[in-house]
Amino acid sequence: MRLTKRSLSVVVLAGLVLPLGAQYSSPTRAASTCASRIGLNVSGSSGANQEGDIVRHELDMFMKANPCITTFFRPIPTTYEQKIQTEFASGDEPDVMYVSPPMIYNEGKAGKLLDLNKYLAKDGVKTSAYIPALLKVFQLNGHTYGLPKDWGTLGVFYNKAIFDAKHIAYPSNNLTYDQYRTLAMQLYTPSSNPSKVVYGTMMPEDNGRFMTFLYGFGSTIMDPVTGKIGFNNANAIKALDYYTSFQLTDHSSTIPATVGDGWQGDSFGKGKVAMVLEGGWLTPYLHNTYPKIRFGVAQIPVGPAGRADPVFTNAWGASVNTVKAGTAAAAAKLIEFLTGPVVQKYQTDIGFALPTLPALQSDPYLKTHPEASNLFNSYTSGKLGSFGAYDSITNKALGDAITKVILGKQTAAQAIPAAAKTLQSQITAVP
Amino acid sequence: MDATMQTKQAPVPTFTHRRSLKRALRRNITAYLFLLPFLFLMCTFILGAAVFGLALSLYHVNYGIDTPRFIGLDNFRYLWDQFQNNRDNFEFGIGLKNIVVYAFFVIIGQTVLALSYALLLNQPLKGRSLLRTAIYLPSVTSSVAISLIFVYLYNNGGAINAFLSIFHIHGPDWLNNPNTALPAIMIMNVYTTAPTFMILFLAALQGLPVSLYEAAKVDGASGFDLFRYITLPLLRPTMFLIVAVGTIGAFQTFDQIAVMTQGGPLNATVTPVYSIYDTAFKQYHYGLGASMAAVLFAIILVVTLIQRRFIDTNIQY
Amino acid sequence: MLGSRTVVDRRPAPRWLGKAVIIYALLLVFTFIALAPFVYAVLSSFKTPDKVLEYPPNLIPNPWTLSNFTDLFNKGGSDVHFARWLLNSFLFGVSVAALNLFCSSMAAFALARLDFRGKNFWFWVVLAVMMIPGEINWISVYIILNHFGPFNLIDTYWAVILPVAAQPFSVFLLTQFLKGLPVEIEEAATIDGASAFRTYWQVILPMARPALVAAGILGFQGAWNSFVQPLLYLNSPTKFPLTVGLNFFNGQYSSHTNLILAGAMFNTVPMVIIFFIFQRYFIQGAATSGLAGR
Repeated sequence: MRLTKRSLSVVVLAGLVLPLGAQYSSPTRAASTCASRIGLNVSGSSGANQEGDIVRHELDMFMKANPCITTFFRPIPTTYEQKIQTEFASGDEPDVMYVSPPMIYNEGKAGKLLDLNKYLAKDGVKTSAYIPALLKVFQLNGHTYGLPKDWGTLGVFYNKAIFDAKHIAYPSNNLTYDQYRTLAMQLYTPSSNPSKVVYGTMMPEDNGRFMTFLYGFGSTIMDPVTGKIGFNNANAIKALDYYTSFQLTDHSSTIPATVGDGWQGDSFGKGKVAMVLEGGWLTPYLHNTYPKIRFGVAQIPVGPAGRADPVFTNAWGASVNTVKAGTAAAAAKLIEFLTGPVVQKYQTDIGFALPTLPALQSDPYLKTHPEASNLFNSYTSGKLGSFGAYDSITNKALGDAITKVILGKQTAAQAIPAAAKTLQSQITAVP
Repeated sequence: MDATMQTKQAPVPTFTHRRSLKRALRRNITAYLFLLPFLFLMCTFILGAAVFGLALSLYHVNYGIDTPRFIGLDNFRYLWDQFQNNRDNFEFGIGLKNIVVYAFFVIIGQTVLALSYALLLNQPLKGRSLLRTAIYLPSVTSSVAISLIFVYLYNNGGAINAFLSIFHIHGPDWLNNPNTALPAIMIMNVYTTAPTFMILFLAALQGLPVSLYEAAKVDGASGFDLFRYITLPLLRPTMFLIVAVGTIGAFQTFDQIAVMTQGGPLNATVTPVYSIYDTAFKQYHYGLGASMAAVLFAIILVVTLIQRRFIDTNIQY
Repeated sequence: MLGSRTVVDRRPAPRWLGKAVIIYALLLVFTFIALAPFVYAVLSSFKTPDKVLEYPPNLIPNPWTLSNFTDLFNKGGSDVHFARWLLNSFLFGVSVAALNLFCSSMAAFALARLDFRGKNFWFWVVLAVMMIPGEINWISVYIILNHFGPFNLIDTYWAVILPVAAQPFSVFLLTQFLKGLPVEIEEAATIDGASAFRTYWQVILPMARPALVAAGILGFQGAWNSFVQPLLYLNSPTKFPLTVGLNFFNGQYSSHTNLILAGAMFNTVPMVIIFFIFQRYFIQGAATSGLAGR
């Protein structure tokens, strides 16, 4: 008993003393001559997908070019926005950080993020160098709270083996909605054995895929600045009818869960579905998890109202506290570097993400990788893929509308106004 | 005052009285010194935090972004308004409805299963402690680990449906179907909590007076009679305890929801605590979240007090 | 209290074989239900990434691979510190258990064995506080930790230890146990002139060992398994416990089911081992609280 007690207390002491590891890790570098040294804390979200290592490498590139600025990186694995917000509350926020679109309307609107305009002008960085649809996401009332660091949009990922077996031509970049639907029906292979069924496509019950059809039919979704709902109209009902007809009328589509998968990337990788609407993030996943699959990527189908590619993007931004600390200029410099040509080319060439600079259209990597360049070329028709402070509630309302129609609880004509009503009550009534 | 009066009247006891006063004082100080570490932590992180939370419910709080703004009962008014006018889409209200259904079935399930386990394991059998260990296993795992495992098992093409297909049952898509998602989580919860309660039943069973059974057997009672007329009534206090603990547990369900369904599909698995988390930490309405927490606490308090009353009047020895 | 009621059932063994067979059959079914998910999850953690999601699923991995377990430790980039997470979980568990035992046993000693003003009131408070669901305090505890006197405890180990270091249930459990100890022992000690603290430390604590172990294990288990608090109150990946760290493998667009299952084993197996070692105390602790509940 006594022995246990003593050894317990040793362990406890060790537990309380040990955790002194640095919060931010910094690389060891040789000292150089500088008038003054500046240190910047940097944070980004990162999982087990090597993203943290890519950022570290980019920071090293920056420090090589700017020997008087040292950066310290600390990744945040989950619930990034919550963590950052609570850190702002205690004044522990990083100097430079990932800025997600909702943060513009939360931290940005409250004046907690650094307005980069002044620094961009001073450093001669033109905002017109960035894809306009991306930059717009991070601007509010004339302020620029972040520069887009990468982006993604949807494309038609198709399994070449399934197309070849059915002697069907690969999808073009100019499919109409009707052609896409017909294609899905042709590719659908029913079977009495549920594990042998091959679906034409998948239309998951979430707004991430659905929003392209909302735009394509001529509806808008949500104005993040005013909070005005844009989808309560006949075009949106048409879009929902179209979206659910794959499963309800044609049976050419299902949701990933029906075939036992968490998301359609797995179903596609296993060859259970011939086409899926996904983004560039699927490419590395397929290479790692399903290396055998042969696939191509075409641009998403074109709707009656024209091409509509929702863009999903994040930015690099800085805390406004860097002004007080005298590090704002350095922070801006870092942000410009991370979103500038050198880093954007690096990210493109390692196949990590699409570049945010149209100038990189002629990059050799994009020239030799049509699956990436097809996605990249959609930037001219980019549409808002995030809705600021209303992002999660908008996506939930529309996702629920799809589910209700699929389950036969409501028609599209009922589900769209109901979703708008729910959303409205959440926007206006909360004290 | 009392002491001085006594001093005048009877000088002799004064000494002892003053000493006893002193001793009482020291006794009290000693006792409070023992209590101090616990009281400090409890008053800071439980009681203090709860009172603080209650105060927050009167404010509009976007923590770290704006200065909190006092808005009186507006948060509660909003909850009441939503509950009356937007019941079908009001997440917290749906959560309350879900949790009542959830608690009802989970409590019945876990009590019945725990009692069955206990009755079987109470038999004098070979290998009893090994079996008890095996059956207790689900109870020691973390809710996160068990939820991750069950997400994998409940998968439409997962082990549970594969097992059902042996009997030619076409299993539903458990977690993605609004009709089966909540029951699926209920089943998992019964499965993980029943063994804990089994231990309570086992302890109670082993404490039952053997003489009573022997006397009844002499009177020619059958095994079922023994169970019906002796075991069950004597287990009643334990059963009420289990119901009380189970109710509080059910009302606090969160981890499983966060890991498995995030409240979906179609709010079928939203629980009040999940809704509080969603409101405060995902939509940044901290004050509104705090007011939901206050409502939930009031409900738990009322339910517990009712149960306690019920238990007190039913205690038989 | 517990010692007087022996754990052995003195009732005669089942008379006829039939009854025993039925009981064994039922027990086997229950044991199967209890173990099957774990056995399947354990086996699946040895499957390759494409086989783990195979449809229809197979019980036995083909081929067997250890790579899921080794990948946890050396793949996934610089932000995955699996060994560190395991160590952290262990440290949280032990620290919480020890601190909780220290605070709770002293409080229980006062409530059960000492006579003082406000004793009933505080015992009632302990009972009442047990009903406050920890979940409702997440917001306020965060703010309190952020301004804990002159300190900001967010992202320190204290943030996950202090808020759970005083558990009313432990006080309740220990108080009930201590109340059951015979008064004479203590009286003898007091006559000997022992101070209250010595009585507590040398006489009462050793006698309360079963309840202490039970409360200690409950404290350890709670901390080992806790998920939301570390998620909210810690920022640095190197400080995470396993439960939070596992989320690194659960990205929105890249769910590594094979790694998650293997990681979940590291969370589960240590608790199972602890349970095997301290089984008796687990059960005695639970039983004590059950008896106390009457």
